[in-house]
Amino acid sequence: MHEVGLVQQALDIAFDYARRSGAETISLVRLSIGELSGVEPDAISFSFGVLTEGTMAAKAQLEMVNVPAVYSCNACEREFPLPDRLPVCPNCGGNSILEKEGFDLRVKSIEVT
Amino acid sequence: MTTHASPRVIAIEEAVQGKNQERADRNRQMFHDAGVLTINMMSSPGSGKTALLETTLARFEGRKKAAVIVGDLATDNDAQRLSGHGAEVVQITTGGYCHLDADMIARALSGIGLQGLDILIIENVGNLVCPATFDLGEDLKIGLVSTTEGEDKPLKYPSLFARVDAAVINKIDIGEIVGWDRAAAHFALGKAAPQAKLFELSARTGQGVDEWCTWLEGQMH
Repeated sequence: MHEVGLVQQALDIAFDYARRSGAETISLVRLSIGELSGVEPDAISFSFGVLTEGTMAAKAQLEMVNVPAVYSCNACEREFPLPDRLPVCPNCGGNSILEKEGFDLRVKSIEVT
Repeated sequence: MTTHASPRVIAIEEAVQGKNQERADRNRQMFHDAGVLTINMMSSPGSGKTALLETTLARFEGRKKAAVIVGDLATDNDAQRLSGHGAEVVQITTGGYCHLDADMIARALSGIGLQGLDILIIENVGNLVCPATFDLGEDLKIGLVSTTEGEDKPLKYPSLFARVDAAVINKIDIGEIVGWDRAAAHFALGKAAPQAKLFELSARTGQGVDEWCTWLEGQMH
């Protein structure tokens, strides 16, 4: 389980933005969770509860936005999901596949007071 | 006096792994500046990463200057196994962490002299899931499987195999005994890692190891 480390990094980003804006508390943290980011929402949620204790985000809500995985083909430039995750373009059969979105965990936005 | 001010929204849109990526990019620059080839070896526990490294280091000894960073949850057993071939070996014990990240590599680099080095081999934590998504700054990712694991591992862990530059099938010497199906194994790797250069070898008997080492040498700067 590497979610604790990732949530700590997400919170560091959130704290940084909140402080720079002169906020006192964070009331909501919105994370976007890529389908293939390799994190479990339950573990994210658990880590968030533990790591926000005693911080400016102690009372913050966590909102998770799911982002489906989308690939694109270098040859034909189509975009598509790949349910079996094998790097073959369903359109032209090409093997040069790019990861477009849905592969990372992002801090989308925060709400502060 | 603070009242019940309505919350303000701050848009951020920042990737959490962005910090790892920055650090990985810096590592990559250091490797390039020093002219050292860096490879990241990933596999399940027990596929034979350390055994392959032992025999690889033995073949490079006296000809190519190598260093190794080895990651495990606990013990320095691997570092001890790998010492004695003239290569600097740095063990990272990750505690509970399931993969190496770029920052751990950066810290380990303080114990390694990159100048004059031909190859830096990073042996990742035995795990086919988490190491796939953490760039360390390496030039090449290597995925290792063995004949005892079943032929379809690459299809079960596609995100790792989709990223590897080379795939190594180890323990080829006991393939027959364990009922390993070569055609099925090649089919799985062809599907999951069509981009990868394939090697079949036995780290124990040395079969196929020369081809692997020759290829690695060809990748050095």
